[in-house]
Amino acid sequence: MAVKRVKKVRILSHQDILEKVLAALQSLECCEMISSDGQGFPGEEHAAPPPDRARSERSSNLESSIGDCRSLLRFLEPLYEEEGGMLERLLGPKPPVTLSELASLRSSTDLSDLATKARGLERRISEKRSETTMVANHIKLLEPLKDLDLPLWIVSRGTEKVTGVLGTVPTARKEELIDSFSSLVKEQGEVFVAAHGDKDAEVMAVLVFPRSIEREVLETASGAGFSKVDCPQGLEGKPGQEIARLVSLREDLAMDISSAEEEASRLALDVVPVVRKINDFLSVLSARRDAGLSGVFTEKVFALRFWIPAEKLDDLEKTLEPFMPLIDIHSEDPAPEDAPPIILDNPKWAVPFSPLTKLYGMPSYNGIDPTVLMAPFFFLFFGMCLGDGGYGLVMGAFFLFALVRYRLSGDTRNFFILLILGSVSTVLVGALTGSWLGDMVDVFGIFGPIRPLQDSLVLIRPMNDPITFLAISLALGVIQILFGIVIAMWDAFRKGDMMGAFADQGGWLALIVGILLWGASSFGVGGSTLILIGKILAAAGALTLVATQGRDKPGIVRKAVSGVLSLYNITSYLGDVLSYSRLLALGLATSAIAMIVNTLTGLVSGIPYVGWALAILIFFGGHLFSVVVNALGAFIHSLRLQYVEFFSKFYSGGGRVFEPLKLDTKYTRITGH
Amino acid sequence: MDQLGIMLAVLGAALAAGFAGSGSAIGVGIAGESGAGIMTEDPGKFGLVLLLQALPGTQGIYGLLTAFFAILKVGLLGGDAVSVNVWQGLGVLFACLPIAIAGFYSGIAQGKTSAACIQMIAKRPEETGKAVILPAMVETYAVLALLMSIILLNSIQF
Repeated sequence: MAVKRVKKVRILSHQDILEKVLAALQSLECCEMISSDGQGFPGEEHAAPPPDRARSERSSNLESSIGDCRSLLRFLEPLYEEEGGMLERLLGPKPPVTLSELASLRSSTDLSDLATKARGLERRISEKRSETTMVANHIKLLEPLKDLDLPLWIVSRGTEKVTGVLGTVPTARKEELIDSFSSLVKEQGEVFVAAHGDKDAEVMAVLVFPRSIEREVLETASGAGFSKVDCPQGLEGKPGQEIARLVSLREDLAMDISSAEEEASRLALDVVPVVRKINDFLSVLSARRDAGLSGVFTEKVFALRFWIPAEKLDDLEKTLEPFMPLIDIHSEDPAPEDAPPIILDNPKWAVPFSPLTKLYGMPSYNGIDPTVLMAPFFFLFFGMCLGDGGYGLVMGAFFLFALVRYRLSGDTRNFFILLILGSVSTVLVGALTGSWLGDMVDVFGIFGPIRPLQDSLVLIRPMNDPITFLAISLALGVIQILFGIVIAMWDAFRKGDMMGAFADQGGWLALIVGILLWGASSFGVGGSTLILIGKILAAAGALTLVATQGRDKPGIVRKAVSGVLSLYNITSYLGDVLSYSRLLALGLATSAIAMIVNTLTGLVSGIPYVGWALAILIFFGGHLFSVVVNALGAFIHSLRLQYVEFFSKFYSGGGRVFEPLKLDTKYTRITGH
Repeated sequence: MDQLGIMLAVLGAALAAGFAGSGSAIGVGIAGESGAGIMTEDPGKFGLVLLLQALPGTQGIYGLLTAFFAILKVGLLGGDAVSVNVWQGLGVLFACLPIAIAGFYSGIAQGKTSAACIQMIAKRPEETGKAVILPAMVETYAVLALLMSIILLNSIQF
């Protein structure tokens, strides 16, 4: 229930071994660099790293290689067929490699050559594609004109004397166009209107006429609704011939594209695995270089500062042992103004729940880690929301299989274990409420023999007695919220804020517990003594709140008003408790959906001939859908109860995740040098 | 008059499934439009986008659930025939209203929130956890309405 202690370390050493020291720190994977932000050594002006030609050349080399790698992977990865499919790559174990293997792979591969080749292919494909689009547009344009017995060069270029235009005219006005054109140019020109369907609003038309009267013709024609379309350059022959030429051109282009794509696929098959490894190596090098840049340099000496978990200090010293006479290590505790990175430190059983804390936001360095406090509640709530033994088994089996099959690690592994724990809880709740795929055991005759076993485990059936289950849900809510207030009280106490502990948290605690005791009497619980205690507690709580909640305000009147108004916050506690009714609602929804699937299965199984097939389809399809939807809902809503109702009482987050310099790779797992 | 009682119950079921379903359809639609926009930039976000798009879909399920409950109650889904008088039929109709109304409006509102959260994960995919919680805040009210519908249906005596 805490945050790991960290130390601030400074090492001083000679420039010559900077690379080696950084490599050692990177392999250790537990040092988070502190950027120097241009500050020099204390008491010295000098800050900028001395110009080092070899280093800056190496750095720009690295940049261009990374660029090549990225462009290669961006183009080729979609064409690469994964061995064993996508899921295998995403979840499966990464192939192990050593750093020296990767280094030799990098030096034996000409990345820039490969990248040039891939870029050439990519450009070829995209050029051919845009050409194909253009050709298709031309074909579409010429299609209506295929009966025109006139070479297109007249329209596209014309001669000294004769020219032509291509355009569209509203179908209704084509006669008007023909008449006005004929009366203007008489025998010296020609008008062609393409064939069209009845419903076409516009029709293609070609006008051919002497160049000398071009302006008049265009004016008259546009008066008849004609609008000009530019005739693409390069179209020479008659439309029929041109279409034939373009169609065969399009086929050639398609063949070019597919051969280029084949070539790219072959290239992908050859180089993607190699480039991936090199990409990993380069990202390791680049992380190491960036870490080096965070340091401070003089001509001969560098200083690096970083955070390290206190327990790893010995490892650090051991790792740096070989450099010993040349290196100086100094460690200290974080100063109050520092913002150390946060590493959660939880007992083993609570570790699977830590992704939930990370999702909300890390605690501050001296704050409370809520993981352990929330874990039992989340476990229980998830089970209640899903609440069906059958679904719990299905879900548990699925995630257990994925966990074993893909040998997961890190937070993905934690998350899967969390879901498996959730399904355990679901099975327990399902057994206690007698829900196994809804009412499957009760409605299908073949389960008759195990019915007594099911019934012997049942404590309560929420379908028959929702009010009791609602009361249980709300009671859990009260417990969690009071627990939250107690934690806040303890936290204030720990920090020496007596006023906060007793006035704020204590006041509410007394008021709520008092009201609860008082209210319990209406259900006949407890005697008159208990009621009296309740009344006293509630009154004491309320008085404390009225007296103290306005303490920041000036003047006695405003203090009193704020104090009284603060009692209004009781509604937010009421709302919080009612929010836990979702435990009942979601649990009921799961059982009810399962019941509906079973009912439908029963209904369709009566259909002659195909009934059994439909029944199987509905049974498996329906329950699969139901488990997915309800598990998602159960997860989100039980998480929400933690975040909104529970965390709001005592937890604010605001910490920063620890991000050590490490061998951070995407495709491979680095196992050593 | 028996028939009228049953038909009132059927109307209740129809309203619950119809309105809550429509709310979800609009909500899922809004979220889907936003998601399609994100995927033009980054098709790799399909999984996350689908998750967020699915969130406003629950109201439709709650409506369907209530509808089934209602017609199960009046014996239309097999089981023993129940005689339903007009008052009982009206009761079932009224009991269906919470999820019909809250399902419709919360479905739309949740769709908008989901759409906004899809925009959020486009820029900050690491914040998916928070993006999933915000739409769930809206869903609370559909859950409460479902709860009320079920409790009301459960309390009508035949």
